[in-house]
Amino acid sequence: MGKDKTDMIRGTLDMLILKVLSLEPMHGWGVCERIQQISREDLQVNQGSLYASLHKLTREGWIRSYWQVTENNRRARYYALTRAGERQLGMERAHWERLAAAVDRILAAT
Amino acid sequence: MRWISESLFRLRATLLPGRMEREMEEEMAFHLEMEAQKLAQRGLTPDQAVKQARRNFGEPLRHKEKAREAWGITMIMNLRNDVRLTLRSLRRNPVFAVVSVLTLGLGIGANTAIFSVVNGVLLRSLPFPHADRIISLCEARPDEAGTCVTASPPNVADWAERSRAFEALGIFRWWPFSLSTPEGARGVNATIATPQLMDVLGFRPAMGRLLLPEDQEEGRRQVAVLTWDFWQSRFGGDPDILGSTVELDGMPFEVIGVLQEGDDPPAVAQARTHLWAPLHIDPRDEQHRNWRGFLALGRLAPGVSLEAARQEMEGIRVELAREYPEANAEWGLRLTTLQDLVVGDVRTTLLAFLGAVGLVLLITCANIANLILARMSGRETELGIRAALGADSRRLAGHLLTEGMVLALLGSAAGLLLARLLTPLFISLAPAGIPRLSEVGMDSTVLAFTLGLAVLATLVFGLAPLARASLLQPMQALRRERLGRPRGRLGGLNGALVVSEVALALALLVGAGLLARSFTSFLRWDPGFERENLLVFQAFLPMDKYQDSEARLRLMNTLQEEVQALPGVHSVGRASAGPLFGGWEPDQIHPGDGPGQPGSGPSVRWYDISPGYFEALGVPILAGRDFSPDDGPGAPLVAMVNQSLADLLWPGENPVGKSVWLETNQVSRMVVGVVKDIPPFNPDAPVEPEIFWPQAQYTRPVSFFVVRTSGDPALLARPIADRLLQVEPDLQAGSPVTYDELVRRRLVGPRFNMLLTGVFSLVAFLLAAVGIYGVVSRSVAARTREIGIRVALGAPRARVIQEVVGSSVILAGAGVAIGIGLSLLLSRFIESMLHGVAPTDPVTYGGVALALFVVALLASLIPATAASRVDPLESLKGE
Repeated sequence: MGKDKTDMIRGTLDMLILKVLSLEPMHGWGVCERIQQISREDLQVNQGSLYASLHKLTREGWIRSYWQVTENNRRARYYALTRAGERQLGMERAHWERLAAAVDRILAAT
Repeated sequence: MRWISESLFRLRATLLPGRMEREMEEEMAFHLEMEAQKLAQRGLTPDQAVKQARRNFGEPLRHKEKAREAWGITMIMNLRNDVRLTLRSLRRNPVFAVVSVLTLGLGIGANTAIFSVVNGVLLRSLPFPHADRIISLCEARPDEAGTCVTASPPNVADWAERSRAFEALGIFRWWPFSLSTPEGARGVNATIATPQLMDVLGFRPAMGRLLLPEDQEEGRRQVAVLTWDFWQSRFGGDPDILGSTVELDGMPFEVIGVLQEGDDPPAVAQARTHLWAPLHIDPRDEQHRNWRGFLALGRLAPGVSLEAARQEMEGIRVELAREYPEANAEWGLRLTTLQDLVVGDVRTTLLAFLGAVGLVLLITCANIANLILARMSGRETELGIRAALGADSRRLAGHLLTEGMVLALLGSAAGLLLARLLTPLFISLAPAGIPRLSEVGMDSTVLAFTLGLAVLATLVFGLAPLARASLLQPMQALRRERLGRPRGRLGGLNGALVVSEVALALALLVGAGLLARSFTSFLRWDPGFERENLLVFQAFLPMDKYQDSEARLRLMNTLQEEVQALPGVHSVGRASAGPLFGGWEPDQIHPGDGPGQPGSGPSVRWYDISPGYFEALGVPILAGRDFSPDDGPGAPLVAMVNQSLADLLWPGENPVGKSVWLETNQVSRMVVGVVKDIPPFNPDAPVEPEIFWPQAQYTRPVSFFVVRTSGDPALLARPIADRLLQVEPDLQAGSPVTYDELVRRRLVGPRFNMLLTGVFSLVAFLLAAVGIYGVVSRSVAARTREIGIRVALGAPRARVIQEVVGSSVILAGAGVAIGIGLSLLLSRFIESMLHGVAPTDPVTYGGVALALFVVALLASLIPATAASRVDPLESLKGE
C-alpha cells in the first residue's frame, strides 16, 4: 500500500464525511469510496473506524440514518445530512480554511 | 434541540442494544461485501478479494468497540454487565445473598416503619390551610414549664386589636354537654369558640353557615354548628337539619351549619368534638381578664415570621401588663407553632425510636460489610488477576460499587415490604396519646427516605471492599496467595468493624436498659394504700333535671348510699379527682382568714370530696377529723390538708384549727384534719401540697366515686352500673374500672417504650455477637497455617487461644469505652422519658458493658478453641 498516501489529519474525517454526504445520501462503503475517489486516492480512509465516526455524527444529530435497498437490490444503511449537519459543515469548513491559510502563509514565508 | 435528538439516540441504544448491534453487524458485512466485489472486479479471485477486503477493513472487534463507544452509553452498558455479573455471583452464593438481603431488609424495614410514623406525626404539616402559619399564643408564668394552653378572652381581644402580625386570632375550649335524645341523655363534646377561630383554622361550611360575631351577643338565640361526622352518625345526614333545634343541657340550640368532612379542631386534647357553639360572653367584659381557661390560636399574616410576631406581641404584653397590673403583671406570653403544640412530648419519644433503629441499621451495615470482606478475601486473587490483565481500576471500583448497589436495592425492596407490615403493627401497639397516628402512611417522603438509606448502604457495601481493593497491587495479590502469608490479623478494617459494632450495640442496650429501669420504678410505686379491691368511676348528673346545688348534692348522696348498700361493698367515697384519676385545679393559698398579697402565696391543688373518701381509699388521717355530714352548706367552711401543705404553711405546729385564704376561690376555710401524703406515680415528682373541702360546701354536677370492695372488685362493676341507672336513668356514668386497671393504663406508654427499644437492642446485641464471631473466626481461619506451624513447633494450645482471645478482648474493650462515651452523649436526649433513674445510671452502664464484654469473649473463644485443635499436618497441607 502506497507510502505516498497521506494519513488523515485527526478530526478532518468528520468534516469530509459531512461534505461527501452533503452531495448525496450514501451508505458507509460509499462514503469511503467517494472520499478516496475525489481525493484521487491521495487520502486513505481507515475503513473500520469510519463507522465509529458515522455513529458519533448520528448521535450528534448532524446526520441521520435509514435503511434502503441499493440499485443491486441489497439492503444497506444510508446516511443523510441534516440541517444541523449543514450548519456544522459550514463551521468546520470555515475553520479548516483559516487553518490551511495560516499553514500556507507560514510555509510561504521566506 | 440537539440534546433531544442526542438523548433519543442514547435511549434507543440503551433500550435496544441488541438491535443496534445487529444493525452494525449488517452494515459492516455489507461494507466487506461491497469492498470484496470491488476488488474482484479489479481482477482478484473471489477468495483473495474477501481476504483483501478484510485486511483493508482492519480488526472488526476493535472497530465495533469504537463504534459502541460512539453511541455514548458505555457507562450504562458497563453497569448492565456489572449488574448481570453480580446477580450471577449472588446466585452462585445464595447463603450470602439471602443473609445479607434479609438482614438489610430488616434494618431498612424497621427504619422505614419508624420513619413513616415520624413523618406522619412530626414532619407532615397539619391538615389546615396555611398550617405553617398557625401559632398558639399562651399566657404562662415565667417559671412554668411544659405545654401551656391558657389565655384570657379580654387579653386575646386586645391582642387581636393591637397586633399587625396576625390576620386572625381566636380562642376555644372544650365543653361537655348533655344532649337530650329520645333514648335519654347522651354526653357530647363541644368546642366553644369565637367565630375568628374558625377563620384561623380555615374551616368552610358544607351546609349553612359558620359562627358569626353576632352569635356571641348575650340574649340572642343559642346556635350550634355540627361536625360532618356527628351530623352523619347522630342525624343520619338529615338534609333538613338546618334550622332545627337540639337540646343541650336542657337548653335549645339552633343548628345553623354543618362543617366539611375532616374539619376537626387541632388534636391538642384527645376528645373528638361533635359540635361547635359560640363563646357566649362579652370578650370585653373586664371580669374575665383573669379567666385563663382558653386556648388561643392565631394565623400569621403572609410573610411575617414567628420571631417578628414574638417581638410585636412582647411589646403588647408589656402594655397590657401596665394597663391591667392585677390580672396581667405576673404573666408572660409564649408563642409556639401549632405543630409543636400538637406534637409536644411525643417528639422526643419518636426521635429516640428513630435514633435506635438508625443504630440498628448501622450495625446491620457493619455486619454486611463484614460478610462482603469475608467474600473479598476469597476474591482477592480474582481481582488481582483482572487487574493484572489490564482491567481499568475505575472499572473494578465500579464493579464493586455495583455489587453494593444491587444488594442495597434488593435489601430496600425487602425493607419496604417489611415496613408495610410493621407500620400497622406499631400503630396498633402504640399507647394512646400519640397524636395524628391515623395520618401515618407511606408517601413520597417515606420512599425518598428509604432510597436514601439504600444509597447509604450502597456506599458502605461498595466502599468497604474498595478500601481493601485499592491497597491491592495485582502482583502482591497473586504472590500472597501462593505463599500463604499470614494475613487477617485483627487490625485495620476488621478491628474497626468490631469496635464500632460493640460501641453501637452498647449505646442501644444502655438506652433500653435505662427505659427498662424507668419502667420498673413505676412498677414499684407504693401509693400508701391497698391497690387491690378498689373500683373507680365517674358520674355526671343531668343538669337540666337537677338545677340547684341542693338537689345535686342529694342525688350524689343517694347514689353513694345505694352503692354502699350493695353486697360486697365495704366503703364508698367521692372526690373531684385523686391519684391516677381526674385532673387537678390550682389555687394560691395564704395562712390566715383574709386575702393576702395577690399572686404571692404558694400554689396548691384543691379537690372537693365527701366524708368517708379517705377511708374508702385507705389513706390514714394523721391529725384532726374527717368531714362529717354536719359539714354542710350552712355550717362553717372547713378543709383538710395533706402533710406537705401542713409542713409548708405551719412547720412544727398543729394545723388543726388554723385558717387559710384561697385566692382564686375567694374563700376562707378552717383546717379540721390532716391526711397522709400520697406519693406521686412519677418517682421524680415531688409531693404537691393539697387541700380538700366537703362537696356539701362546693357542689358540682360531676364527681368520681371510689369503692372499696371486700372481694374481687371486677365482679361489682356490673351491679354498680345497673344500680346507678335504676336510681337515675339520665345519669351519665363511666363504667367502673379497677384501680389495678388504672395503674396498668398508666404503664402502657412506658411499657411500649421499653419493649420497642428492648427489641431493637436485642437485635443489635445478636447482630453484634454474630459480627464479632464472624470477624474473629475469619481472622483465625486466615491464620490456620501459622497456628498449625506454631503448634507443630510446640507452642502450648492455651497460649494460642489466649493470643486470639486477647486481641478481640482489646477491641471489645475499645468498643465498650467508645460506647459508654456515646451513651453518655445520647442518653441526655431520652432524659424526659426516664423516671426514677438517671441518664448516667451506673448500674445500667456497668451491666451492659459487662454483658457485651462477655459476648465478645465467648464469640472469640469458640473460633480460638477450634483453631488450637487444628492438626498441624492438616493445616500445612491445606494450602
